[in-house]
Amino acid sequence: MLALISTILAQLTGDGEAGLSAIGAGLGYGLAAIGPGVGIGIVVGNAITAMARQPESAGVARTTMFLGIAFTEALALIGFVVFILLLP
Amino acid sequence: MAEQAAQPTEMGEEAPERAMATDIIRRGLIGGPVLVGVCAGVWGFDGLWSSGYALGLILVNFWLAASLITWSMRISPTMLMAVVMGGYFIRLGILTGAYFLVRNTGWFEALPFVITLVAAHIVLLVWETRYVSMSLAYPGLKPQGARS
Repeated sequence: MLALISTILAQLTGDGEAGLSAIGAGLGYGLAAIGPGVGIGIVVGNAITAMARQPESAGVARTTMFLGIAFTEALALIGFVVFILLLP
Repeated sequence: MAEQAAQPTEMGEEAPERAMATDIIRRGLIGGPVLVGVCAGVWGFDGLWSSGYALGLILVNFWLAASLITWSMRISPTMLMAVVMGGYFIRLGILTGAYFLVRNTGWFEALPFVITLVAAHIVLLVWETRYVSMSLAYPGLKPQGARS
C-alpha cells in the first residue's frame, strides 16, 4: 500500500531522481513497519497468555505489555523518520 | 463457566496502561519544553513550532494507545489483539497524515520534527520504564496513591 502511494507520488513529481527517492521512502517505511508489527503481535500474544494463566497478575502483564508495545513502536517511528528524510 | 466468562471484564476493571499514559503525558509536558526550547534555539520559530507539533503528536499517540488497550480489555482478549494491531496501523497512519498536513506549510522544518519525534518517544518511555521497574521490583517502596 505504502509502495503504491510512493509510486503515485513518484508519478506526480515527474522528476526521475525525486521519483526514485519517493519509491525508496515508501518502500523503506513499509518494510520498517513490518518488523514492529510482528513484534507487537508477539508481545500482545504472550501478554494474553500470561493473563489467561494468571489472571491475578493481569495488572503486571498489562503494564509490561504497554511498555513492550511502545518500545517496539519506536522502531516504526525510526522508519517513519527515514521516510520523512528521504521524501523529496 | 460463568466465572470464566466474567474474567475479561474483571481484568479490564483496572487500567494500568492509562495511568502510565497519563504519567507519560505529565512528564512530557514538564520535560518536553526543554527539547522544544533547544530546537527553537537552533532553528528559530520554525523549529519551535515543528518541535512542539511533534511533541504533541507523541503525547496524543501514547494517550490513544493506552485508551485503545483499556477499551478493548473491557470486551475480550481477542478484541485486545485485534485493536492493538489495528491501532498500530491507524496510529502510524495518523502520524503520516499529520506530517503530510503540514509538510508544505511555511513554518515546518523536517529536522527538528523528526528529532523531537524519536527523542521524546524514547526518553519518555525510558523515564517511565525506570519508575515502573522500580515499582515492580520493590512494591513496598511504591508511593501511596500511585498506579501499578
